[in-house]
Amino acid sequence: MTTDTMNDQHLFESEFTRLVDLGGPLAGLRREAYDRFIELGWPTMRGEAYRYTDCRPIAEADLQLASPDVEVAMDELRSHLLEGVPTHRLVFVNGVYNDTLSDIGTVPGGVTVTRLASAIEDQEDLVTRHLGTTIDWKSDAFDALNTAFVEDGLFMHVPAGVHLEHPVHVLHVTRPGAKPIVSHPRALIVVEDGGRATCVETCCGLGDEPCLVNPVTEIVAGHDVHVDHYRIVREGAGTWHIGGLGLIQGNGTNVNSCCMALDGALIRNGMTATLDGTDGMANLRGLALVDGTRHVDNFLRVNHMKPDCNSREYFKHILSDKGSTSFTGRIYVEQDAQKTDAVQTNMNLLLSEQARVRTRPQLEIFADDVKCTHGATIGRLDEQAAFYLHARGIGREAARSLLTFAFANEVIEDIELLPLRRKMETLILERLPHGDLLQSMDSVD
Amino acid sequence: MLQITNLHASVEGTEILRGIDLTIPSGEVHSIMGPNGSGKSTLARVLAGEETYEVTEGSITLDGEDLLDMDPDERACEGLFMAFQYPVEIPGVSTKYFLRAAVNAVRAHRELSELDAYEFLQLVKEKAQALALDTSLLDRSVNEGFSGGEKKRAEIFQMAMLDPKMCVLDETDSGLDIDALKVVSDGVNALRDGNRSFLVITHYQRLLNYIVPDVVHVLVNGRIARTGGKELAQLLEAEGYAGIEAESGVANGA
Amino acid sequence: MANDSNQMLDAWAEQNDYKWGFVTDIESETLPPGLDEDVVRAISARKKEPQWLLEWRLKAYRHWLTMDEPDWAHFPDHDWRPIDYNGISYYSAPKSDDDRPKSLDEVDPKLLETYEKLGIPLEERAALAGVAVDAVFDSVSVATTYREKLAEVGVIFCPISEAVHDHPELVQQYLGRIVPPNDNFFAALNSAVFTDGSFVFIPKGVTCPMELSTYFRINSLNTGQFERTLIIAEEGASVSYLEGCTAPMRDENQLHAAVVELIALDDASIKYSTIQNWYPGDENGKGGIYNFVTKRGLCEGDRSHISWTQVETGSAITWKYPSCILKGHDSIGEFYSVALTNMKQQADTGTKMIHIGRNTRSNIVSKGISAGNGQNTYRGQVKIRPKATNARNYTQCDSMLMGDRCGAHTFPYIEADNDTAIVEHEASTSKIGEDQIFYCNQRGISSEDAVSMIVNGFCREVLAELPMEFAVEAKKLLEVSLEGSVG
Repeated sequence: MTTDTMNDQHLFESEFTRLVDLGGPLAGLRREAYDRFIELGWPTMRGEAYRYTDCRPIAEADLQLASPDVEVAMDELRSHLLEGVPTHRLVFVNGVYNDTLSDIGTVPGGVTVTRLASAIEDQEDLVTRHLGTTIDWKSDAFDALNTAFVEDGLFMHVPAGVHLEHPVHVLHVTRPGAKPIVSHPRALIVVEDGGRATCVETCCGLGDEPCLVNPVTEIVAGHDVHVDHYRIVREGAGTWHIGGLGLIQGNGTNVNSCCMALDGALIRNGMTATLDGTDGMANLRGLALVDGTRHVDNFLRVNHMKPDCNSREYFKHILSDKGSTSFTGRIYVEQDAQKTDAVQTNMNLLLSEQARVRTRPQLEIFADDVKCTHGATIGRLDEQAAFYLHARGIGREAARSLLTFAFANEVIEDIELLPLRRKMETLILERLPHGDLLQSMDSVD
Repeated sequence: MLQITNLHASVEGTEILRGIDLTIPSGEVHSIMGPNGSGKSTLARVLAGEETYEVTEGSITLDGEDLLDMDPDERACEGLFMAFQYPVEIPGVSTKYFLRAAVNAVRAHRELSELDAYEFLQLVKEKAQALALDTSLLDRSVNEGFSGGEKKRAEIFQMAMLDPKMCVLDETDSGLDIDALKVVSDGVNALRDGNRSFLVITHYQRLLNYIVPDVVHVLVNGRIARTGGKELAQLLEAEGYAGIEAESGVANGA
Repeated sequence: MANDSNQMLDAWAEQNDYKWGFVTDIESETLPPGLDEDVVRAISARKKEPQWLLEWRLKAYRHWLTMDEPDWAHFPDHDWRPIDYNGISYYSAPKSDDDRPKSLDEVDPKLLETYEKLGIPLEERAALAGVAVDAVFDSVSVATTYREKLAEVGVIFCPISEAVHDHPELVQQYLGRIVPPNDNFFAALNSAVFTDGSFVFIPKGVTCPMELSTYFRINSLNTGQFERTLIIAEEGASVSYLEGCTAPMRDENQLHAAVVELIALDDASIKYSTIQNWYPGDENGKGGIYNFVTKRGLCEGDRSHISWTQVETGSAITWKYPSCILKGHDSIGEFYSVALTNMKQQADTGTKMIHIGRNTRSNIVSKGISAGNGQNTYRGQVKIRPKATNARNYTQCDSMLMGDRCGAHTFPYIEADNDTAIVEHEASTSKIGEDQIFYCNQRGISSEDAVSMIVNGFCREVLAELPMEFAVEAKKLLEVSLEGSVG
């Protein structure tokens, strides 16, 4: 059965009607996005965008919005918290804000870190001006769906010249139940000229039943801004995580975004970066650990609209068991975007016979004075290097683990936020055979 | 004979050369020295005809022919050769192929017959022997991945192959160690034949220990501030450019 | 339209002694525009084809009717004129002498200038321009000359229409095996209406003693819209085949939909080289060929080897993906391509390498040059199937842009289902630097020569794959095609 015939007109309609009946400044956008979602239908593998990602299980699940009364204890979140650094923490459980678990703390003067639901009322102007401007929700069904159900999530505003010292940490906790639930958390991060901010999003699951998590984050960065953004995906084994990130940046602005895809049944990481000012840098990175039957899909588009910008896409996938990955990295260079320097890399490390890799490194270039390169590799561990280590007294498996970690570490070592970097190192090592050995080696320095 | 008269040149509206008069008779070696930003390299590039520089006044003739009227390739065919400070890499084009195209373009201009592959290789061999240069670079792409020394040696080799009347060496000594410097200057000296003229542009006097000039000019602020014999170079080495700069009024911004 | 053509066909049929034959001298005739089953029947009858082939064509035609024209490669701002499949004549024997230019004096001087630059001798220029002055370049006689020499070693090289009669068992066995009639829209169309093409058979253990070429034959036929080529290399056989499409067409937006099938058995090797220079249209994008070609090779045997080399400089729009199915163990597939687009040309070309057997290797080198308003796309697929243990692929896609109104695009699809696969893909873009031109100028080399030197250097890995004479022609072609694109 094909999925595009499944868009019966009633999909989520009652929930939607309830939401849109609330009215408010976003009612029009929601309406438009909902209609668009119905029009697009669930993506199929016949289209280019989801060619390698099978959304049929999602389409066939009888999804419903989660009820707001789910209990989560602080202890269940411990392992996801950032240690050794103060954070402004917001916790959402199944898409619903949890006041008890959150701890926003105090923010410097002028900065806003709050729930999107509050901002829709209190900062209507900013929200309506920017929401939905960085992503192409008119062509992506999941982005449209999120936009149709936009209700809560993070809102962050950093005024001109202000540096937000401590990271904002948003935890999207999903506790699935007997019936498959869906949540559509949204984040809107607006950083004005000369501002600086760091935001970490952790999507974590507390249960393995099937469910859909559909977060969309938008970053609007003015001129001379610096933003570091991280998304850590540690969903439950039955979770379909379809995430979107939209980013638009002005002159001289530097944005880093890194996605760590670690757990979940299906992880889609859609990123759209638009360099809409000169001398900017968009640095998109990602690491995927793909074991079991997990599928990870990194789907990127970088739009170079103005001259003298750099962009980097650096994505590494480690596949074992029956894991599969796909990567699509489209660099688009507008005619005016001369002196663009864009590099795109996708490397796939195969650790098992049944792993499957799909990669599409793509360039679309309409300017002549540009430097664009892309590279994709698929291969196994370097057996000679493994042998060399083995010959130096490191056990065969430990040697392989060491090399695997080295492969992953090229993404991890660029994480600026030290507690997060340490946490990622630990997480990766924990999963490797004899990782404990490596961990002790690591702590030597 | 190269004759430069009242040469003014500017780049993007800023005047760099402000009235240069210079005559290099056949067979002579002249050197132009000067501090950074004095216009040395601009002079070389204007002579070669780079379009970035606009000549606003004055004239340049080579054996009476007006160079300013010519495109860069015509100037080369007329016998003007420039050894670049930073020779450009041309990936995919072998040096041998490149040189043969260049030699035959120049020969065609002089109404000489085209060299076939065999004749060309003979010429390569002959020139390489005369200059004691090895020809291993010829099979590589033009300047691609060459070390600094290799690039400069390749420039001198091209000079020998093209048989120019007037050679301009634009800071050929920059970034060279002493051995490479010797190879380059030996090459140039071997090409001094009493007819061919040289204009050696350099910041340091060091190169002039190996290529001994007949005349030394000091370029300051786009004008020739002083002209003398080879001893002028030694004076500059000892005293620096400050004296001459002050003398020509650069220090007070005139 | 269909009605007219039916009447015409009936009239034809009535003149003939038997229903589907043509006894009249229809060499000077062209089927009226339009496509229906009767047209397919008429073509088959004209070729006196056996029943099985007629049915094969009809099946392809009926399938074609159910298919949609592909649109994956359209650039939104291009002035795409949809193809009117009923506006095309599907059988066009050489035009009557009355329609042709009587002498070179009547031929567009621009065209002649191009030939001169290509170094094509005068007589040949005449043949290319379609002037009926010389019969020496008639394809049949050329082929016949070689045919005896080839027959001595058992090589068959003849028009496919002849092979249908002389070697029916081979044609029936292999035709459509690699490119089935329902493979894609244009392959289906070709299968229904193909009118000519080459058939090559190299028997076991034979190395074909000469390069086979369709250079003359295609040119002497005034049209080549729907050729079908089939090359079979038996165990241990090898052949190098050259296809030169250096005849610029004068018609507007003519459709060229060829199908080429290659089969290499154990230890066999086929090298297929193409120089494509169909009429590209003018500076404003008016006219030019739509070149939609299906080329595919099957490395059926172990250690077999298929190599595609192409230099694509012509056509208004090219969609072409010469592919290799690497089924035999240790088989090798190669694709070397230069595609140049100038003016308003679009080239969308690349390859598919499907690794099925163990230890299969593929190598892809694609060089795209975009000038003027040209759009150049590499689109390729590398697929490593689960059983293709130790498969290797290396892909290199380089683009060179000249001018700020052209585009260079790279769309690779890489799919690996075996963990022992090693796949590497690299791509880069570059332009010709002002400083490079100036450097060449300073050595006496004109800007135009400098550009062609640099472009040829950029393409050298591909040009090196071409047989010598073709490489020389290709270089000249690149120069001619780039003329006027350097300011």
